[in-house]
Amino acid sequence: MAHQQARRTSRVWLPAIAFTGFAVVVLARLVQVQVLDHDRYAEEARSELYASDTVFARRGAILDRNGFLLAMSTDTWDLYVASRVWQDEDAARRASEAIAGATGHDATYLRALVGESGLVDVLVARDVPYDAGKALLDANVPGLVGLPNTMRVHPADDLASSVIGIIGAENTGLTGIEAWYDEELLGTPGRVIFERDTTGSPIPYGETFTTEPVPGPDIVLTIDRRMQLAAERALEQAVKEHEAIGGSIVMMDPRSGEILALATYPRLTFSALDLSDPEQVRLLRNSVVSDMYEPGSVMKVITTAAAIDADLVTPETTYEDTGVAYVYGIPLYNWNNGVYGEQTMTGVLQQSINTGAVFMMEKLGVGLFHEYLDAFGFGKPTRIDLSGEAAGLVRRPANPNWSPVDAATQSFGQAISVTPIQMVTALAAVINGGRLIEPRLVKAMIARDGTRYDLPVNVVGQPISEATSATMRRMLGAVVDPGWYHPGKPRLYTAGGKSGTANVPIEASYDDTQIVSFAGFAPLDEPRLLILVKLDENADLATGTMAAGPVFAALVDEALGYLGVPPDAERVAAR
Amino acid sequence: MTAIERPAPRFRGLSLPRLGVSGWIVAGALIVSASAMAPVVQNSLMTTQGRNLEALAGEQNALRVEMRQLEAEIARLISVERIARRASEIGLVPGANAIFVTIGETGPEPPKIPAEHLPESPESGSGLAAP
Repeated sequence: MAHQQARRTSRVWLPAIAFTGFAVVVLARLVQVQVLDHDRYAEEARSELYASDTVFARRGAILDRNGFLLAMSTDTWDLYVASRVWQDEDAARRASEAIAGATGHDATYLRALVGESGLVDVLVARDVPYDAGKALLDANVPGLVGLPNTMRVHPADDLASSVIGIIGAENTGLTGIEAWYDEELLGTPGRVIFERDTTGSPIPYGETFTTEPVPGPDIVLTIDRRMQLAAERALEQAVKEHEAIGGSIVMMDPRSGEILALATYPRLTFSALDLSDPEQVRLLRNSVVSDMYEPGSVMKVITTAAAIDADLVTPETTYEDTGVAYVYGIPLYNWNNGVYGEQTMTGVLQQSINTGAVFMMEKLGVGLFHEYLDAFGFGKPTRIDLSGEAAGLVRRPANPNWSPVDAATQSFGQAISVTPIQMVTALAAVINGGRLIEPRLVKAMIARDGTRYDLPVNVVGQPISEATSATMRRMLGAVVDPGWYHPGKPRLYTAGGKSGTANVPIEASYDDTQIVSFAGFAPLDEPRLLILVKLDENADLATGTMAAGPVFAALVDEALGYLGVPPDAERVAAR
Repeated sequence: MTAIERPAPRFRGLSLPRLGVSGWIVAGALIVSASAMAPVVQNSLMTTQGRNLEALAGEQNALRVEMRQLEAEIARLISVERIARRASEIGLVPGANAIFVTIGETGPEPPKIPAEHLPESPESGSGLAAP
């Protein structure tokens, strides 16, 4: 049987050509999509299918020296909304009201936030308390996705807030110990990559790749919470009593450089922190390490230590005070314009005689005097483990507008700016046998496996000899116990110390306002405690001895009793 | 011709049941069905166990969170500022004249909450130690 053959007409060829052309186009497109642009489309597909998120590691806790918690992280949720789900108005309304009820946000605001963001997943609430977030997630609120996070809490409220500092939204430290040890505390963040459905929600039992976060170690401070509380309370009371605008107290173990308490007033309040308020932003800076002041007569301790160490004077060396010392024709008077006649070097410290300090400085000479200032660490940071430390300011012959009078006034604490931590560090060297030790706020770190790493004591110099240090302790003991009433004399312990009262410098002159301080140590022979009490611009114009001395004395009695240091038997008997 | 009577063998080994063609087809179908069902059953079991595992992991996490919350609560309750405030509220005041007694024995171990991971003998006391 013969087959009929279609006639090759345009009715056959045209559709055939059309179909062939279409097939070629489709084929070309397939080649483009699957071969030429394979990587791009594969990447797009992956990004549609997979979502990833950073899982923050649990931030290490901050403990006091005895292991009591000062800052720790608790679990929270960051809540995201899959914006596609909320394109359904009814779902959006129900979900936004549920979220608003649990987080305190406004439902209308939430819908606007999601609607206007243009993102697939929109962050609607951060650090939602764990239980509230869990309840929302268990309720299957449409489009809601929760990612675990942590939030910093402070079980001891605002205790040591200026030391601890704050962290930011991304769990990174911004100030204080939180900032200085941020890298350690932060740990290593993990990452989770998960398959998601068209609404952006994770697909149950879908592929999930997780890099586990490694929590940061806990940090053990040198701060003792009880001594910190005592210091903060004493400071607040003194500031109010003497109508000062602020102040600070530093308590240090002079044998190791460990800071046992560091109080500033006013202090940071964690619960009411408002970073839009410039006054509160100012409190983020720790004034003990950042703010400079002229130390006044406390500086005479350094001048005396230098002169004795250089064998230029002894405690018994005498000179004649006429009430004024002329330096290059410029008269320098005593603080109260008093005239003390013949005085020993111990008497210079007891009576706080400016001309006596100038006498010792002139014996040293400017060069040697500045060498001792350098050796004691003035004019450079102490390298304490707190951010924002100032270097201080020491005017030197090479500086513009230098005058030889500057060295003379530096001998009694003017024309030199120091930070409180610099002063405490230098004084520790004066009384601890002459060793300059880096001050520190962290004693140890505890890894997650329980391993404890103690940070070593770092001795950075020996500005004076051990013998000079012993001599200075005796001389400073005579200041606090001169044979007549002294407000800085503790009731139960032997002690030494020196007060300072200095006007606040303004451009080329001094203001009427003053900064008063008292720096002292106890017990006298084997110091366990060095305390600097500083009050800023006290309106009652009480001197350092009268305003800060009693605070020192009370803190010595309280703190040494707490530390278990036996009181001086004679003083106990004399009570 | 005499036929030799031979006893039938008592045991002739295992013999397959006699199945007709349709029987073999049914058996094959059963085997194929069972093979097909096996992954489904296995998958179902895995899913169930996965769900259980996930529930247990969730429970573990919830307990961890609760533990941390309790840890924070303990820390808050034993914070020195709160204790001082509470002492003040119930009328306690700091002692004016402490009596110091020197004794030859070491004091008791300091409390270990929450510092259980610290060395056994902290350098400084955690209470008013006797001198």
